[in-house]
Amino acid sequence: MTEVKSDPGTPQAEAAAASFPWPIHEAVLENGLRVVVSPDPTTPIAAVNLWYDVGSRHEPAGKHGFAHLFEHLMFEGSSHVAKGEHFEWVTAAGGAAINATTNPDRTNYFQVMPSAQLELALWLEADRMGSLALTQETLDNQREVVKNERRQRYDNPPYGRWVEYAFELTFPEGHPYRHTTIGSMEELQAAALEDFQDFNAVYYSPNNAVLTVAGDVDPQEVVRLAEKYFGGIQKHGAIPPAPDGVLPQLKIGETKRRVEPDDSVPRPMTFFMFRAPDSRDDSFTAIEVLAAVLGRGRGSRLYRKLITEKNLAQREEAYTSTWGLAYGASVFIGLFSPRDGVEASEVEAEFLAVLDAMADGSAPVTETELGRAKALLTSDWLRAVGELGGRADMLGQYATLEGDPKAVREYLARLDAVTAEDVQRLAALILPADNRVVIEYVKPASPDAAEEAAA
Amino acid sequence: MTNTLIAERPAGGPPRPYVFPAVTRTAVTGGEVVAAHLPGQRMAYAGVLLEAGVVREPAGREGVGKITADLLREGTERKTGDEFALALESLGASWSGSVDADVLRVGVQAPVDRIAAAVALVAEALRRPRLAEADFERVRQDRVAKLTTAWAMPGTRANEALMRGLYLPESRYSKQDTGTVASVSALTLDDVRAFHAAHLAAGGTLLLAGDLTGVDAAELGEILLGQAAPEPVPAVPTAARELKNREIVVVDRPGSVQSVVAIAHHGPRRDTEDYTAIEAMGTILGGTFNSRLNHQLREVKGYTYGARGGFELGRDSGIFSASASVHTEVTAPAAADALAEIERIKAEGVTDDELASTKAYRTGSLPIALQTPGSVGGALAQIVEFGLPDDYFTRKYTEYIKLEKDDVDAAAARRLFPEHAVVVIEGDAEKILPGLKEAGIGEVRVDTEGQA
Repeated sequence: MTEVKSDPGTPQAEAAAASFPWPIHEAVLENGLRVVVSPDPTTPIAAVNLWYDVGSRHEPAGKHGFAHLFEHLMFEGSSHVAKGEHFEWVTAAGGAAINATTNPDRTNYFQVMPSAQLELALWLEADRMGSLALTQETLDNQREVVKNERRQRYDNPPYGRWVEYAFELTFPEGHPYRHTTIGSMEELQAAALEDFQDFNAVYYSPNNAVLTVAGDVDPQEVVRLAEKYFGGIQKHGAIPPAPDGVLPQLKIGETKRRVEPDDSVPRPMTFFMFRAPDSRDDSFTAIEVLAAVLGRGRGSRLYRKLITEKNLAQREEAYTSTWGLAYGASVFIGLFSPRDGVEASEVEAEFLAVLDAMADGSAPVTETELGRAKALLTSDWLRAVGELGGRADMLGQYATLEGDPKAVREYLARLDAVTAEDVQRLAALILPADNRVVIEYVKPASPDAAEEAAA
Repeated sequence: MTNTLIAERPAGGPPRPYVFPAVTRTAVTGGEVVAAHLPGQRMAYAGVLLEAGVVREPAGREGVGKITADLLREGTERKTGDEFALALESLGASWSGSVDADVLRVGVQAPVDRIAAAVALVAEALRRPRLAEADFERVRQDRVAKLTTAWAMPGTRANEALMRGLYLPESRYSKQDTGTVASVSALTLDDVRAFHAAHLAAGGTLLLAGDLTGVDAAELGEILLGQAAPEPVPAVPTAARELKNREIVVVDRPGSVQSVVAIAHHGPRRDTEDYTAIEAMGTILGGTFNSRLNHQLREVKGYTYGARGGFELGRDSGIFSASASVHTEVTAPAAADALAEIERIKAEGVTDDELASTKAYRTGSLPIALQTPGSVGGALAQIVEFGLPDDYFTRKYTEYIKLEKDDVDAAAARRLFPEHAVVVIEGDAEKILPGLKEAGIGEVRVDTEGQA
């Protein structure tokens, strides 16, 4: 019988400020699969979530996009589940919110079930972990689906490729974050079945995964069921170390700029990317606060300067934000679109002046700004853990990236501890000119272009 | 290396029944508070539903509702826009505003211990907005720019052409809810003030969802609802365009690497007696990953990243629509396949397995979809907008359990009209026209009316 370690959590009455008031139980199966259970009987449902510690950062050159294409193949059948039946059985049992996502760091698979159907989700997840059917037919079909996903999200929409352009300038040749998760058409086209068989053999092993169940369940019973369904899966051996994401220095070293003349975009738009400490770094919470102070919401500095005061840019809910990446560096991003008749260069100068004033300490963060940013981030957190799918995913994230799901209890205290000095220190580190990538979409020089587009 | 796996699919037990949170209604001077208690939920939603949908907009002033809703955040009689934003965001509150054909809704989500303060701010913004010329001008320009941007995005032109195909030009439904570049450009601050005075200044229904222990619903109602609104006059009728033969309408988006295929026709009103059967049928046809449309176009053919379809039924008018973004080269066969799936379900009905699966999905996923204050607030809005019983979402459970194959087959036979549908294809016209003409799926015409 697998030993279960339990952490009771804060009683509801004391939980007003607690990050995570629910109990957390942990167990490790003999094959290395980590199991995390967080009971909450409020609603008769249970979220089932698996984090595999593999993402696009693990992809070697020439095989970009394969982790994500693999994720698609995980829905294409296994020993006892035919192609498409994963969705079918889950929905037929009243489950919903079924999906999977791949990012640079990891791949997650999830569904929310009526709690009486928990066992079905475990059976389905175990079957594909232990016996995925990889056939040429499903590879060919899903390759086309992924190519359409690429067209729909990256190639067809205006500005759709800005992230690809920015990553290429932000990270050096060979860095695991230099390419996007979607990959390239050519490399996807060249993908062979053996690539995915190898990928499966190396990474889709129980000792490279975390199974999280949150909701109307009994922890001992979940661990018993995990043993029943996953216990017979052999571990594949040691997981090879991921490509090294450590950078010789945090900063990019200069301002890099790509000007992209594009007829098809409706209006000029400028994107920024900055390298920032990674999401496991102690300072990452201060970076989230920085992004909110500078550029999130109607009350942020950039909004008040660029829109209310100077009327230079289009209204956006967010001008700056963070993308947490766990190994080596994260990215801090910014964007604006100039108002009609305003030069992008003029807006860029004002935009960067707001960032500089924060970085050089000439306009320190006020207590009001700090309080506002923390209040917004607190609400984000309460929203995320307020539903079971988000709660299970958060536990999987902390278990995988921090090595301890109970670290989920610390978020609000960490947020609370961020000071104005922390925020300014991070601004001084991240925002200066020697750490910037600028992607500028411009309309080709034709004075009538705007009118033509509108005609 | 051999893995030992359990071969037999677990049957699972019967679901622990779901009951929608108890709804309490409290009458106050200006209207009514409709509240749902969600124990243990630390975020709360508060919103006001007003009889101010786009059908209330004067002709030529399409989009005034959305602009008015946007302008509410730009300051009050007592606070500038910046001050208002700072006050609201310092509560951790996020503002939301939406408008559909029938109603307009503005609201906030905030931690429940701050919801009263957030409601007071909503009241200030809704009843005593600043509505200043400079703010209006900025918001209007911004909306025009957004509409221009949206027009360049895939799907917008298709959607506009679809609405022109379904409704007569004089119908408000023939234009997007947000208005057009022309109508929004022509708006003045007086239009906004008039719309606000007529539809937003008084009354409404306050929706509340969250752990309401210690929240005084009546007090919040008094703060927000104030004086009663006059009885609304009936809205102008829909003015649907009569659909005869199937039309294939091509909308050019030069250089597009995908085509948007959108198929639509009219549907009944929301109060139709076969609503549940229609919803079940729509789910089987295009509502889930395993639906017939997604299965055929994505999983079998690999034409698309996803295909969907279903019914959207309002107070006075409903539509069926199905859509997919497909690779340009397969535009015509994808459109033919989608139409064939609609024809097939209409002619042959659904299978017992599909029905059983859909019943389980619709009942099982209900509590999954209704976990958050925001989604329960949305459910309350539906209850109020369509005059549904307070226990509608609990009853839905029972209705689905009682649903039979004959009901769903009848809904498919009575409510789908692929032979009369408007089929809009937005894509690179030069590349797709020859194939569409050859496909023989209907008379092809090019719609050039659309403009940013």
